[in-house]
Amino acid sequence: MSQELPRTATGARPMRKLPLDFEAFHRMYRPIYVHWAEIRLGSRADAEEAVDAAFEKLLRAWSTVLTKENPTAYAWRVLRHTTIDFSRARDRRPALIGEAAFETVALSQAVDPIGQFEESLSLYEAIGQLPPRQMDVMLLQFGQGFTVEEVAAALGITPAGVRSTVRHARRRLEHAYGVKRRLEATRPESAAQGKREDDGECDDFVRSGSEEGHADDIAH
Amino acid sequence: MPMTSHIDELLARARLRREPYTAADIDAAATRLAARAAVRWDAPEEPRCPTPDTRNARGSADADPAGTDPADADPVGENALGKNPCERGAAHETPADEHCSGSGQAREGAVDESSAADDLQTLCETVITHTGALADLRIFLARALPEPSGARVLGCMLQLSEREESARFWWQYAAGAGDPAASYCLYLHHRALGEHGAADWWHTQHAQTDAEAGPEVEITTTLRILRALKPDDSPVPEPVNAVLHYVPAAVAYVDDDLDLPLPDPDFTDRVRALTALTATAPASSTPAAPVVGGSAEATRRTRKRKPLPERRRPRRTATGSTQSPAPRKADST
Repeated sequence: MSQELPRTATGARPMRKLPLDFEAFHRMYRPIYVHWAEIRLGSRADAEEAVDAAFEKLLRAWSTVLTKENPTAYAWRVLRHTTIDFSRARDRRPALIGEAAFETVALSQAVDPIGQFEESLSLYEAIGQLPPRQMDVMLLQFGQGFTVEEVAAALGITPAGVRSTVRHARRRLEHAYGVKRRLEATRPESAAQGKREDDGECDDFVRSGSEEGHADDIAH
Repeated sequence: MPMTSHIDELLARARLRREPYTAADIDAAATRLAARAAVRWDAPEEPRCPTPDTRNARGSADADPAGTDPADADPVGENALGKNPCERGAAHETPADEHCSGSGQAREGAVDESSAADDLQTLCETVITHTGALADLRIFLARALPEPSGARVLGCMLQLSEREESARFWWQYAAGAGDPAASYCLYLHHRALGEHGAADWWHTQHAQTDAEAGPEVEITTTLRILRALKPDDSPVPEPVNAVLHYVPAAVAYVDDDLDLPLPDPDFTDRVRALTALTATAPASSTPAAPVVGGSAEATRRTRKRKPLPERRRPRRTATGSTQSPAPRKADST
């Protein structure tokens, strides 16, 4: 790819400077973009490449981007779609979010590494089933340890919006785990079927999983 | 609930080892970008699509009332968020070729994310400024069950106040009660977020509930014409503005166990008081009183919120003082 600088020997072409506001935007959000893309793509190098591609798109249409009602939120969508494209181009499925389980701090300190790995794997796979916005917020806040304010700024939403998204996501995860446990529990003896007051929510969870798949399919 | 803490424990152990991203990394990236931009912009063999440069997102739609290809209006929108099958997997290469050749294949009837967001903004502004809006809102909680039309208006107000999650809740309520405008709001809402599955679903719902509505193209066209006709600072009636400032502070998630964005207990009274301004003093007073007079909880939330004027269309300055008139006085002394 065009990672190299244009050789000045060939060019009378002076190197174009980035617009100042673009440069500032890039400086402000690039780290969090890269950290997010790292989870989606599994490596720093791929993340850099995808984020480069996203910023290039933004740069090419920068004046249009600035007219958007919420340029930051818009830029985040560009990043998201570009990264998903990128992972498709490499034949990767979004499910690879589960690979993050190799990289947890907890794993590096675990007394029971296999147990810890399995735990993180299933958690990240569950997060990978969340709707896009919830997935992004959970990955950034809990995976990468960004603060609510940092996440809000990068996604172009309010901190209150981030908190409420986290609340929804946590609920879905609870239900996902709840369903799993119930399945495990009811398999031997199907007596525990009495109390199922939250069936609707379980359906909701399942539906959201397919939504995410759908959204990703259509995205490109 | 033991399960809550269980998830919290899992999440606490989910933290990844984060390789730091340094200033040098950013500098290198900026240099790369400048180089790539220079190469690609100057390269003559790079065909640009004919239209995007000359049409901006808002202007083009008006010139294209049939809505034949709304996605065309926005170069990034189509490149990055594009629906072109041929663009699949090509994001890291030059997208321009695929962009041109595939633009006719955009999903039929599809509105892309950014125009959906614009349309939603226009629709919400239209809903809250239409003459019956406040009456709808007043009826909203006067009955034992909230009325769908009031829920729709409340949803639009919350959306305009950037409370998307809460807006969605009330639209869902209204749409569930058969309010077609609310299902259209939900359609645009999900489309704008790139949640196409949900968007399509609500679109179907809308088509079913509103059988005599024209095809979608007509609605989007209407919204765009409305947007074009409306000056950017078109005035919002003062009582609407007052309610608009009050609502985001008054509707909140009550607590973690009851996950519904519910209005404060005195919501109906306050809205009634605010909308009574319509009859008495249309444009004189600013709506500061209700917020200050609200519960302590509401006041706290109000301070934390960003002031409304960050919305795309600046409001008249008089309303800017809603946020916290008291501190301002304190400053001057």
